[in-house]
Amino acid sequence: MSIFLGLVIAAVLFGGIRFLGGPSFADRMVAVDILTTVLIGAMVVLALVFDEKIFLDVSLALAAVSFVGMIIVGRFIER
Amino acid sequence: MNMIAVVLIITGGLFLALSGLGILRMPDVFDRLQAGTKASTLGTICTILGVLIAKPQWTVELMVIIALVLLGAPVASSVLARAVYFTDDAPDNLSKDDFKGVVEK
Repeated sequence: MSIFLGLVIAAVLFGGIRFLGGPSFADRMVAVDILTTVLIGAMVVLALVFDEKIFLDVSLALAAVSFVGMIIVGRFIER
Repeated sequence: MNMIAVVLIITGGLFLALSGLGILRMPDVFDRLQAGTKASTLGTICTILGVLIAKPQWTVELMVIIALVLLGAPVASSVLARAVYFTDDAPDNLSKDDFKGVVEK
């Protein structure tokens, strides 16, 4: 599981660099979209590690809400 | 813990790291969307399947999460790609552009 944690840290680091240094607003939003998906996977593994079912609810809410947020961002930058 | 579960979770983590590398290294917005979305969707689903094998009593919640990721990630990325196409940030060196002449920017 620590291998998985290292891989997730690498993904968040790469995405964070793109988020902080992305040339345009759209690049930052792409980074946010990918980081949300990474976090969904990480939360499920945290639920397994700590044996707490409550982390699954975090992951569920994030999966349900994140794409609505991206649709709103898309409408915002399209106009 | 089950060996198959560990292998699936590590594979999922590998794909998540590759998606992060993709959005860091790809040259323009459309490439970043393409590399990031597909790899991160596959990585998340691999990870969740691994957890599902390790904890079969959580099957319902995990299946709902898989369904939401499968529904949400492609919708989000296609909406973002369509929005980026109509802005000034869109790359103008596309090798194939089906929207050209059909819609106006």
